[in-house]
Amino acid sequence: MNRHLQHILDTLLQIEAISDEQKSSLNKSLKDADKELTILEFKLDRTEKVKRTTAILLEETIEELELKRKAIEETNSALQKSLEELKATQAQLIQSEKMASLGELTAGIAHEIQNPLNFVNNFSEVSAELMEELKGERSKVKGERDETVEEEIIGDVIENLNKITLHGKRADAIVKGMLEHSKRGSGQKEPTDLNALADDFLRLTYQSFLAKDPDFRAELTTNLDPDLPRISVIPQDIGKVLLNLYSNAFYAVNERAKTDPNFQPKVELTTRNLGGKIEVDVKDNGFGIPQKIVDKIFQPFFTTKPTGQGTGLGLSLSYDIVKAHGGELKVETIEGEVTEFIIHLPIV
Amino acid sequence: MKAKSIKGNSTAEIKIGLEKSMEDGFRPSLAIVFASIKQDIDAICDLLDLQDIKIFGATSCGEFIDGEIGSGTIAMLLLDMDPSNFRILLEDYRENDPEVVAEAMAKKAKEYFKNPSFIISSSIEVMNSSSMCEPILRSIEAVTGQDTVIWGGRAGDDFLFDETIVFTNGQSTKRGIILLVLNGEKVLVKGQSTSGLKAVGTPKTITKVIGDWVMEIDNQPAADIVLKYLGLHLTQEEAESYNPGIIVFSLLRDQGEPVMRSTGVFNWKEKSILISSGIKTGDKIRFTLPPDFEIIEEVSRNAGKIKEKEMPEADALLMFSCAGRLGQLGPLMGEEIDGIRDVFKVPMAGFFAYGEFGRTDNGNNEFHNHTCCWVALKEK
Repeated sequence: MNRHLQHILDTLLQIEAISDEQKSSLNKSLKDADKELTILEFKLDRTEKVKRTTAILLEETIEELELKRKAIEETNSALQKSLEELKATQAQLIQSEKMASLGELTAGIAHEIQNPLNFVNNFSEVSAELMEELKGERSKVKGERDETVEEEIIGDVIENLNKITLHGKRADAIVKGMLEHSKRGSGQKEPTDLNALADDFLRLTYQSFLAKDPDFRAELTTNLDPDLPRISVIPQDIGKVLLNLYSNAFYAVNERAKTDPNFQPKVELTTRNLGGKIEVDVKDNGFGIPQKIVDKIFQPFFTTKPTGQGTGLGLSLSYDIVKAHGGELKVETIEGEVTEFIIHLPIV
Repeated sequence: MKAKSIKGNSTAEIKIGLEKSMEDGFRPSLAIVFASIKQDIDAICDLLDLQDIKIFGATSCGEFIDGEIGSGTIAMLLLDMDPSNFRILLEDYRENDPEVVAEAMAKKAKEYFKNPSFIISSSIEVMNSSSMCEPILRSIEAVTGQDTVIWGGRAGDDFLFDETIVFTNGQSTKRGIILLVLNGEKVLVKGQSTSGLKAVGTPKTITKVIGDWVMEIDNQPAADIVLKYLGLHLTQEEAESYNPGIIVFSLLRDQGEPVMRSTGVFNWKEKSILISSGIKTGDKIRFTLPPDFEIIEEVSRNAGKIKEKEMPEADALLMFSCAGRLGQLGPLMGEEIDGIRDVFKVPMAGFFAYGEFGRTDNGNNEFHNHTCCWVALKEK
């Protein structure tokens, strides 16, 4: 018993004036008080210990949380850095893809330019010969000169010069187009004749294939909607999309042709005004795309071409370009029969 | 089934209590005996043998039949259970692995009863057998199934931390397993284990264990970590005699509630700490703090709910309370015992154990520390 309580009890028990019954009652009360005191002392002591440990644990928990916060911050920072590096790498890859497609175009462009240059050269030579004839006619004595012939020659020369100008301009347009294509970064949107753009790139891409594989032949069909309005697009970007689609189409039909000598490769370009949007379809009768990979073809770096023949970025970039124009690029395919890439671009 | 509980400071006092209990014609067939290791175990057994009473006995760290906790005494629950509804098995495990012995005992129990329930105790060399009890549980479950009812407490030795004893008629051992096998079809056994301890702080990993000693927590010396949380700066001498009992490890489980593990003494040289009941490298723990003082009412309230739902009419009550709980609840411990006893209002006996066997809420059969496990019995 607590010594103070014990002292009280001892003193009380010695007082004769208190009856035994009262002493017994007092004894019980003091024992109860002692028990309660013991419990309170215990609770106080334990609470003190618990408080001490709780404070330390709390402090440590806060420290650990702070460490975790810092770790998360560092991870975020590292992720941010990785993201930036990824973006830089992506930009480089896009540029590489652009350069690769430019390289692919070069052969076609060279082939395209060769035609007008041939015309220019031929008509220049013919014109020079005609001028020699005119010179000969004019050197004749008066009376022998045939003015009608002279007029015909002059007419022919003028006609030839017009043709030279026409083919010169054509070559000029091709060169300008090539320069446009090689521009870095995204260009400006401008009203564009999609029929002309799609047709030009179809021919260029075909010529490019012919340059690489002179034995390659494909039946090209164009169904161009004459009611197509000019729409606001970035021509070099949409050109890049078309180039990718055509390249894939020619690659697909060429691969099939290699396995089947009787196969007749066909690539078909169709444009349609759907009202509110324009549809450009590029269809080939190659092997088609297996269903198990059709969902993956727009993923970056996915390619079915042998190593070194495709970056796997063509369709991914095309998808992004069309999307950036507010449009849609999708594919419909029947394995072993046909593949059709469909571009929808809004009329704005 | 009729039950009576008696207690005494000696065999002589128990003899008087036993005779008095039988004056009304009560003829117990089974005595569940918890006795101080200082008591004369053989004399107690002889006394009960004379009355042809079967004994399930274990030494303890304090014994009780109510909120008055005895020290160095004997507490006994006497039951007149139909002898065909129970068997007592005791085996020494010195010649075999404890889990092998436990499996053989479970097989024998299964031969007796199709659906046996168990009250279990075991005796040990206290400082060197912490990880023994979980394998014993798993061995029994391997024979009788995971849904088997197993409750009990590991024998104590009045905090001598030396050796404990389990005993039955004509047999006792310091390295043994004792099972009170009950016929599950005839004897209803319901119990609950509650610690009330609160896990605090963030989860930590036990990174090095040698035997029963935790050497490192989160790759830091275990003793340093525990002392840090105690907020103490102790000298070597102080640390080696300090009981860090206020801090308990809450061992996280994939399923069910965490399982408690007591902290023992420090080894200052190795900077390690003794952990009771088994812990291994890779285990995840959180430190815990003692239960709120309200736990006493909570334990009683929870017992009331189980009584109401599952066992409105119990015949007798057993309680296995962790020896470490004495330090955590101090003078309040008696209130916890009385709180449960008052729910069932039937004779009871219990003891303070070096670890308790029992099922966690929504979890498995486990071997715990720092819990209060109570078990109500009802013979159909």
